[in-house]
Order: sequence, then structure tokens, then C-alpha cells
Amino acid sequence: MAVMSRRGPAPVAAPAPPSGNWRLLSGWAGSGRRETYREHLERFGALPLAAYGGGAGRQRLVDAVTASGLRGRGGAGFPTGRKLAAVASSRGRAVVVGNGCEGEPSSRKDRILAEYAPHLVVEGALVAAHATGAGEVYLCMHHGAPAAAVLAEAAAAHQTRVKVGVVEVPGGFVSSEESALVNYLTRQDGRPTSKPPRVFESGVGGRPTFVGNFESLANLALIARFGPAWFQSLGTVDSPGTALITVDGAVRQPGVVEVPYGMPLAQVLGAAGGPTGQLQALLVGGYAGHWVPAGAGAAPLSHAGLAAVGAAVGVGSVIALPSAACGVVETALVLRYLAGESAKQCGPCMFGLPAIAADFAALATGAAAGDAQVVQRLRRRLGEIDGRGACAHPDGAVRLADSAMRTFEADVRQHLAGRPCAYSGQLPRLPLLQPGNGVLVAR
Amino acid sequence: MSHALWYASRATGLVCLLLLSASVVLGLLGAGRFSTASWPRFVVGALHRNVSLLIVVFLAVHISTAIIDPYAGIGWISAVVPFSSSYHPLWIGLGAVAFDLLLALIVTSLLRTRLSLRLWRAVHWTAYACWPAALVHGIGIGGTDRTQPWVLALDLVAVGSVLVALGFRLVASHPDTAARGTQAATTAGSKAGTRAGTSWRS
Amino acid sequence: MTTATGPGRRTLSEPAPWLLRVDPILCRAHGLCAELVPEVVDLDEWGYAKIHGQVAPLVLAEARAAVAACPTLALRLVRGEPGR
Repeated sequence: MAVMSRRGPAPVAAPAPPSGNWRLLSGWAGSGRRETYREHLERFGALPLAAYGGGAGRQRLVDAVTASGLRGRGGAGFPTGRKLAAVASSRGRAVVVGNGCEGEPSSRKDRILAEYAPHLVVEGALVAAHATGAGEVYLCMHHGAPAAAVLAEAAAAHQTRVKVGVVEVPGGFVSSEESALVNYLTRQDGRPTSKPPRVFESGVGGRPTFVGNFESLANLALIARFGPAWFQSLGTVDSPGTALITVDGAVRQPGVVEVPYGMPLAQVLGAAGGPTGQLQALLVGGYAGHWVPAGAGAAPLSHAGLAAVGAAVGVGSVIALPSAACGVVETALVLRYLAGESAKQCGPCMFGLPAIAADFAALATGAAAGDAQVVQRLRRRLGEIDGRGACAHPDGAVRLADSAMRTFEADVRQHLAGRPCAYSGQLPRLPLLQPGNGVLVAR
Repeated sequence: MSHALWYASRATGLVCLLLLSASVVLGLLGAGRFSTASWPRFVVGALHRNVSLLIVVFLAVHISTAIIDPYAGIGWISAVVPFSSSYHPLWIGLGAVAFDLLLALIVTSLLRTRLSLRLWRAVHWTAYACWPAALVHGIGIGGTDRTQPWVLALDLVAVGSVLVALGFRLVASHPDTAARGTQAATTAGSKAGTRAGTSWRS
Repeated sequence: MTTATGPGRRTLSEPAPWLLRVDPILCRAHGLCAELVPEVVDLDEWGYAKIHGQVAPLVLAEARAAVAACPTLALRLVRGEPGR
């Protein structure tokens, strides 16, 4: 990236850190639009990488991130500080990859971040590059994403010796997986690879690679400025900070909201205008996430809080399923979608996922009525498929199916008895990508 | 004495051809995933390996008796450097080619777990050159044996069994290969079309 | 290495166990491994290798044979965490 100097005079005093729930999206919340680079600097101040100069400085930066307790926002929730330290201590010149691919159809937060706070994303990548000694940064989005151009333009504004490039990656659910992304950057093959080695030791071109979700990077940009103590002033002990949550389904104002971790799920729905009617369940964490009954609305949105109700944060999306819908049908459709998105590299995934999708479809359509074996067979298959792929894609489908069996247990029994619910003939509620043309099917 | 050496070389040569044909047949059966209750996969695999190693023993006798026998005047070097012999250079040369390839096949297979799979596989493909070379070497150098009915019968058995096994290999299919096959095609397509905007897994 | 703790006798230090690992991308459901060392490897309903448990010292030789016999070299023998 060419070094361009378009900054105006630096602010005289460092601005105060964001004080409310709006942190990553405080620029948008304040101006109602994407802010220019100058406005961004006025709001947040300059990125103080000079304060972390030298080897000792880099270590202080990594320690600050570790102390903040920041956990990855891409789905796995892995402590970011530990990841940075692992890459920094691996042999070879490091590479930083920003993951804004967002293969999950239910999630829009990374696109929103790239569109409305691109400078935070770029700066976060620069912070990671500084901490790991990397000289190259690849910011990745899916091919054709409108925000990619915004991000590229934003990246050009930053004065840095680090090479920053925006890369468009072929679409698809699994292409945004960490090793798949690295594989694409290395040899244009966007399929996950086997572990070991993990990408922090051997990633792009065999070099230690830090892969950070866009939201994780944006948080890094703020932690570098305002410190771990400020970061922890919102959120919970095990999940500090704020989260960008895509709220969708039967809510009045579906969209992306920024809420502190620990907020009860019902309140998160409220931030999106509240439910449009009676709800029966929530899909938390994306299509590879967990169904929870609507009664779990009091559960706090945090890693520990959701684990207590058998769910997880995942990609940070919450979809509200109204009572006037059939959870079994919705799950069957998502399972079929997930099966189609397999990279077809591992047997348990390429055969197992279509098998459980077919089982669930039989349940949904009532074709399995009277078949006492189908639930047993489904449970056995779920146990067999879990954890046996090179990536976590099959695990996601297993999670979804397993939580659906629990949350919609009564419905499943009705379907088995040949009495599917009244709503099973309707158009599906969950947005689904039609394989082949990227068009959303039914809302 | 010379006659004994000559007969020994001819006899062990024929045995080598039969063993090599058996090895190729077993290899093709394994690749085609052949298995029955009494011939499980690992038996076919182990037989393939052991038969191949047995060839080396008979080949050692075959080559050394041919060289020690003063009649043909073949030097040791001609066993490994193809077409360097003054006695029937073409037929002996083909024998040397087959021997060189067999050495490569055996050494890479013994070291299989320490080599890259791609390298092992590339060398193993040369078996399709090794067997015909050995066959033609045998027929070409055979001389009067070419007219012996029992030698011809053995040659036919060798060729016939390899052809049948090859047919089996080409016809055999498995869901795993079928499932991956479509993926490979899509990958190739998407590699070419990433910048053109085509979606990844259409 | 662990030391004797808790009720009941334990060996002072238990050696690191041998484990069989299958690379799910390389596995093509040939099934030789399940024939050679069924104590450790099972096949799922689609024929792919499923590892259950550690490699007991008694079947270590068979496990090595399975690693060598796999047509796609999808199996590896590794040492696990010592003690437990």
C-alpha cells in the first residue's frame, strides 16, 4: 500500500474514551453516518503505537490485550491476547489477517463495521501487526461485498510501513474459517486444512499468522488507546466489553446493535425494537449455533451466561422465532443449507450432514411419522459426526440439530405422531442463501 | 556349467514375470478397493507387498546368473544402465529399465511413511511402465522360448490376469471418490473465476 | 509426571500413552486400519475411521502396521499427555 499523508493536524489533547454502550459504532451513533478519517481521529485520538515501541513495548501491548480479557468475536471466543502472544513467539515473520468474510447468513455485523467504522478495523490490524512484528496485513471480505471498497479507501489513509491489502475471497460458509482463509491466501484454495499445524505457527506462506475477526480488530484499536481497565468497564468478568449483535426474525427493527456483554437476551431483543409478537424460541450464535426456548430470555448474553442455558455466543446473532412458525421445518432447511456448504473434504461431513439433514427433513414433512427409529438414528449420527471433521463445520450442524431436538421436543413428538403443527406448510422465516445465486429465499 | 546358469536365468526370469504380474494384479485390486470375507483389504495389501519383495530375490538370481554365464558376455553395469549391453542391447536394456523402476518402486514403498505421499504416488505410477518393460524383455530375449507352448501359456496368463485386474480397477467406484470428484471440478472452476465474480460453491 | 495422590494406590509416574490420530481430509474410507487394529479404530456408517481410546501397549505393533498400511497415509501415531 502506498504511504499517503492525508491527516490534518493531530488533536491537541487525547479525547475521552467512549462512555456509553456505543463503542465500536460510536462514530455512526454520533454522526449518523460513516465518519471521515479526520473526524475519526478527533473522536478517538491518534493510534499511540509509538508508546509501544521496541521489544519491551510490543510485550506491553500484548500484555495489555491479555489483561483486557478480549475474546475473539469470530465465533470461537478464544482469548485474543493469547493468540497474539502465540504468533509473536512463533518462528518467522508474522502475517496479520483480518477476517470480515462473515460466511454466516444470519450475521451482518462485520459488514456493518467495515462500512461504518473502517478505520477502527484497519487500526486494529495495525495494532496486531505491531504486536506480532508482522509486515503484511490482509483484510478479507467476501467477493462482491460493497464495504470492501470502503475499507480499501480507508486503509489508504493510514500512514504506516505495514503493507495493508483488502482481499476479496470467494463466498461460501466455510471459506471464512481460519485455516480456509489462510489456505486461500497461500494457494487460492479456500478450503479448510487439517490441524496441526495451527495457523498461529504456520499460516500464510507457512509463516505464523494472526487471524482476527473484524470486530476483534476494532476492539484492539480501542484497547491500544484507552487501556484494559476502560475496556472492562462494560461487560462481565468472563466476557468483557461490548458485542455487535445481529438481531433478526420477529423483531420490530432487525439490524445490528452494540450491547454490553451480560445484557439479558430479552433486553437485546428490546434494543432491536422488541418482539413483534409471541416468541417460541431464539436461535443464538448463528446457523451453526443453538436454539434456546423463548423462556430463556433472562439469560445474559455472555460466554458463561449462554453456556448455562446450553448455548454459546457464536458469531453474535440472535434470531427470534415467533410462535406462529415451525422450528422443526426451519431447522431442517438450515441443516440442508449447511450440508450443501460442506467443503467435501471429510467423510463424516460430506456424508453425515446430508444424512442428518434428510432425517430432519423427514421429521419436518411428516414422512417419518410412525418411524420410531428416526430419533435414535439421528442421535447416533449426531454423536458420530461431532468433532470428526478437519474444521468445526460439522460440529455446528450437530449443535443446531441437537439443540433443536431439545427446544422443539414437543413439536418433534407431534411430527413423529403424524400431526405436524399448523405452520409447517408456510414459507420459512430464517433468511437462507439459495445455493448458486446468492439470493435470499423468503423473509 | 554354462547350461545350468543359462537355464537358471531363464527359469528365474519367468518366475519374476509371474510374480510381477501377480504384484500388479494385487495392486490394482487394492486400488479398486477389492475385498471379500476371506480376502480382506489388509490381506490384499500385505500380499502385494510380500510378492513384490519376493521378486527381488528371484531377480537377484536371474540377473547374476545371466551375468556370470560367460556365453552372453553381459557386464554388471548393463543390469542398471539400459541399452549398454553388446548382447541384444534392446531386450537386455528393457530388462534394465524394468529393474531400475522396480528398485525405485520398492525403495520408495519401504520408506513410504517417511516420504511425501505425492512423491510415492508419482513413483508408483511407473509400475505401469515397469511391467510392460519386463514382459517385452522376456518375450524379446526369449529366443527359442518364444515358440514353446508352455512359455506362451504363462505369458498369456500373466497378460490376461493383468488386463482383467485393470478392467476391474477402471470399473470400480466408491461414494468417496464420487463426492470428492465434484468438489475438485468446482475448485478448479472457482480458482479460475475468483476475480470474475463467480460464487464459490455454486 | 504424576505422583501418587488421593485414595487408592497409583503408579508413581504413568508413561505417556500412544494415540492414533486420523487426518479427516486424507481418510478415504479404505478401512484397512479397522481390520488391523479394531481395538482402537472403528468405522462409522459411511466407512470412515473413528478412533476410540488409546493404543494399548499390547496392540502397538498392530497400530504401527495400520499406519503403514493406510493407502493414503491418513494415520499417525503420537504420544499423548503423560499421567492421569
